Amino acid sequence: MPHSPPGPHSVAGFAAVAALERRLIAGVIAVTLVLLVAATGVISQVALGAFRRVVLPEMGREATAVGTALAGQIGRAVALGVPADRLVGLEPFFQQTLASRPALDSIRLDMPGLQAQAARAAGPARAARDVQDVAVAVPGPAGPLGTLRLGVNPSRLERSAADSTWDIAIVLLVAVLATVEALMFLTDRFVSTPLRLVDRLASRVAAGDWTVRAQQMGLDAAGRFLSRMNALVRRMNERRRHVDWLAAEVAREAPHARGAAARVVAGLAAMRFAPAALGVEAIPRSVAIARAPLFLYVFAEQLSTSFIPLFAKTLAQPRGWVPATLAVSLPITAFAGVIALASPFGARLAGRLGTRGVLALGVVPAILGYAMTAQAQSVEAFTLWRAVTAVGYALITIACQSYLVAASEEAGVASSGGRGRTMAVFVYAAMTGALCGTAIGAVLADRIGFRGTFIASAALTACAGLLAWQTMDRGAGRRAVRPSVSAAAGARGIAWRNPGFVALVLLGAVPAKLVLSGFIFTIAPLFLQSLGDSQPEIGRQVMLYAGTMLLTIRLGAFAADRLGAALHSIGFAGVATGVGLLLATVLPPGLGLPLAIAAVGLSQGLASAPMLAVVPELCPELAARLGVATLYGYLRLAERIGSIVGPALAALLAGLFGFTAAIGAIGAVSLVTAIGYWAASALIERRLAAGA
Amino acid sequence: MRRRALIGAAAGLALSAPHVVRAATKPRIVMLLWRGWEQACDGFRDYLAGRGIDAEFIVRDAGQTTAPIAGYVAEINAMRPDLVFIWGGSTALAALGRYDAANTQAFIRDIPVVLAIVADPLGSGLVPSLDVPRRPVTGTIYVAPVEVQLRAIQAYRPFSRIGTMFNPLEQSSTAAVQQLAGLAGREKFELLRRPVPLEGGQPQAEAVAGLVREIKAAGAEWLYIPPDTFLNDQRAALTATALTERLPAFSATERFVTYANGLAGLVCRYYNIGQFTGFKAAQILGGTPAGTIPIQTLTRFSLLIRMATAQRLDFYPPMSLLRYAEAV
Repeated sequence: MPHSPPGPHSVAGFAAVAALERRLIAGVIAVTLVLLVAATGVISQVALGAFRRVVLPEMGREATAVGTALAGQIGRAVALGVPADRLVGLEPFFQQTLASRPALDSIRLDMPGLQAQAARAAGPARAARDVQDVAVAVPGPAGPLGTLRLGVNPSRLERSAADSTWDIAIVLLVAVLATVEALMFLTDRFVSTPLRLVDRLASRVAAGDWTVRAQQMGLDAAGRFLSRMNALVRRMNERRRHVDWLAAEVAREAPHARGAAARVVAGLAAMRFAPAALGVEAIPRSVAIARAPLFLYVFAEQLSTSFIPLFAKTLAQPRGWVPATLAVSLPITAFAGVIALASPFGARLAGRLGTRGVLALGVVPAILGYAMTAQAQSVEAFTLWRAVTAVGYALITIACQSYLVAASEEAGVASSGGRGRTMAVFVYAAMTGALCGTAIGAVLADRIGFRGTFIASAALTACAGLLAWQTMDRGAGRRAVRPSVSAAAGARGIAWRNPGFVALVLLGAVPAKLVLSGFIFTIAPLFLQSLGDSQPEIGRQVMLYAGTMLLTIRLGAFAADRLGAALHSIGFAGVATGVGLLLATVLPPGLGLPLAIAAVGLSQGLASAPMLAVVPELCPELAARLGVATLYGYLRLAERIGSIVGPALAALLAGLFGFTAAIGAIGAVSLVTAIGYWAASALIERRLAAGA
Repeated sequence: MRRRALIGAAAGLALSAPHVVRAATKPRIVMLLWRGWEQACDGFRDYLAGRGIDAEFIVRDAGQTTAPIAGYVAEINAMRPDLVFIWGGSTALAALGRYDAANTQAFIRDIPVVLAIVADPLGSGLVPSLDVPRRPVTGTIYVAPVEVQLRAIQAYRPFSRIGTMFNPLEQSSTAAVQQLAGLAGREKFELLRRPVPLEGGQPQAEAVAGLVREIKAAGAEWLYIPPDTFLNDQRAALTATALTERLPAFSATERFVTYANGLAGLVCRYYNIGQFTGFKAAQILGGTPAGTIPIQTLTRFSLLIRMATAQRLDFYPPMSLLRYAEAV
């Protein structure tokens, strides 16, 4: 099915449609958001109220049950013959109970001739009104012997309520983001794309081209409109055929009128017809078609981000050849390594099979990987299936990327700015998916367990694959393998000899990925778990990096494009990361860790666009020779080194010297490489200025 | 007609054959006992009955002396029963001898044996190893490890000085005291050892009360009673003296608490030991070679506390211990 290049009318029409699309989407999304926030706000208030009404009496009931058991044991001791005032070891006995019942605050026994009590040592003194008392009688042969009083601490209830509020807030956030993505996809599919197709057909017809009909787009209003337009085109072609036939008849039957008939036919020459076989104007490709499956798939993959090392810890550890501290980082390392290995093949496959084929191919190992991970019993098995999942990840993300490129080419936006905007779509969809997935995955893991969450990942991946299969056209992304790419072996060597490129990679890109995979993916979950945080709390903190990154991506692009400060942004980002991490080693972990995670997110968001923008600046002859896209490919490949080394290094440091020292070491690496990068790029700039 | 009769006869024979066969294989178990049939034997018999093993029990009682044992051994060697159940360490040594004894004429040969109410078959030389006895002798150990008992005493009331008395002729007793002495250095307490004086090669029964007083006078906070047959025979006098001297007595076996005035003990109930021994016996009767079955003790012990003694001594257990204790 041919994808026609847009004519002049069509580009203007495209812009008009895009404007309409933006207004429409903004309006729909605004209304939906208001409704969603209001509804969820109401639901959460109701839920919390019910929580208080139901849970508070439950806690009182639990205290009564514990109290009755304790009182029973005291009564039994007295019944066995121990005089009430000679009961021994009551305080340690009560302390044992307090240790195993976090909801209880204090236990106090009042009997004639004996008083004993125990209270939870830690914690601030509470006003008397805050403590709920439960009183139980100590049973005796001739009536109660005394009273046992248990203090229930309602602030533990408040903590559970706060946790639930956070869970609801996370679900709300993810619902909002997912709704926005869904709305963008739906408006594109059912409004903008049909409008674009109509616009194309209409501009052809307006220019006298009746040779093409529109591809069918379903049975909704837009589809019916397109069908009617197609009917119009067919009828016109039939009319033209009729006219030709009439002219032939006239030429045969009435030769004197042949000239007049020929003149009529010639008058129609300005318009083009194809009565024998109409061509088909294909449904235009749009960015949203790749964005929705990408969001869904990254969402599915990131469900497990906040607990991969924690899950690894629960499995059978590898014996012998791997030190225990490294074992938890193996799955993360394997994931990054296999992505690095599979990406070049993925790119070549995409050229041969097309986007849809590669995506369908990638869905298979992804789903298989998740399903088998859900039943893995050892770290080795986990690592193996993570590697299989990584193959799927590489194929799917490359497929989406290549579709985005194809879609933006078709929209006539082939400039580097346009490519930048396309990459921005990719990054935004991926980061939003990462944010939603990390947050929800932690809550999900808390409810249905780690293994259940992997099954959920598999299910979501299947949905993403189905969606892409339905909406992507078969031919997208297919292209002949360019000889310049396949002859790039020598080019790689040239790239690595360029000092600017090497500096960017070694001192900018690799340390960034090292911090991400070592600190955020490996150390953060383990450290937070060791501090006693629940899984949803861990997820909320890890999710911070995705959230803050989203905030600063645009700022970084602005800095690179308008301010020309790309180099400085990268250096600044590295310094900010280093400072954040080093601060985390001196601040208390409750404050320092989220601060560090947010710092990493902010910095990496700031540096992501500049890092791409700076490549042609640093090595202009290389960019001109090999093409910027090729250099990006090498950059991504080299970055993976950081992703592979990071988890292993972090786990090793944490195992040997503790979490705080490991965080400090990673922070120091970031700081030193950032300063080195600044120095190196200043030198290179000076040399370039001198040489130019 | 004749064929039918022949078939009928053959079928009848075939049907009755199992009964014939079964009658011939009812296992015979000789019970070689020290002081008659008691709870351990009950547990043993009850376990086998519960497993549907219909055995014939042949009882031979030594009557608390080793003299008749040689005659029983000869009888057993001639009878060749399927299994021999031996009660008590002294009985076992007399009937089996050490595993490395050169001359095995006087001992039970090549017949599987299960031991019950034995404290230390390893130390007394009955078997070279508890996990793989190698000779056809297996069974159960009826005392908790000394370290576990020590922790029970310390949970009841921590102490810095403890006294113990023992029959120096009984290997199980001296071995237990030895282990306690070994723990004394590590756990930082002082152990006062008082062996019962011998007269004419036998321990003196009259000296027991005096030893108790001596231990109390030396400042002991507890009296530890190891698994000792002689002391068991003197348990009434022993525990009565301990009571009057206001010395809390902790024993490794149940009779001092259940049938005397001892204060407490972390014990294996004799009945349960009998049942566990039955479990070993069932394995042997099922075909497992006795030499491959490990000799084990129970995994759960009973904490016995005699409340009357506790009241008399005004020495009560802490609530956390009372929660798990079996009051006697």
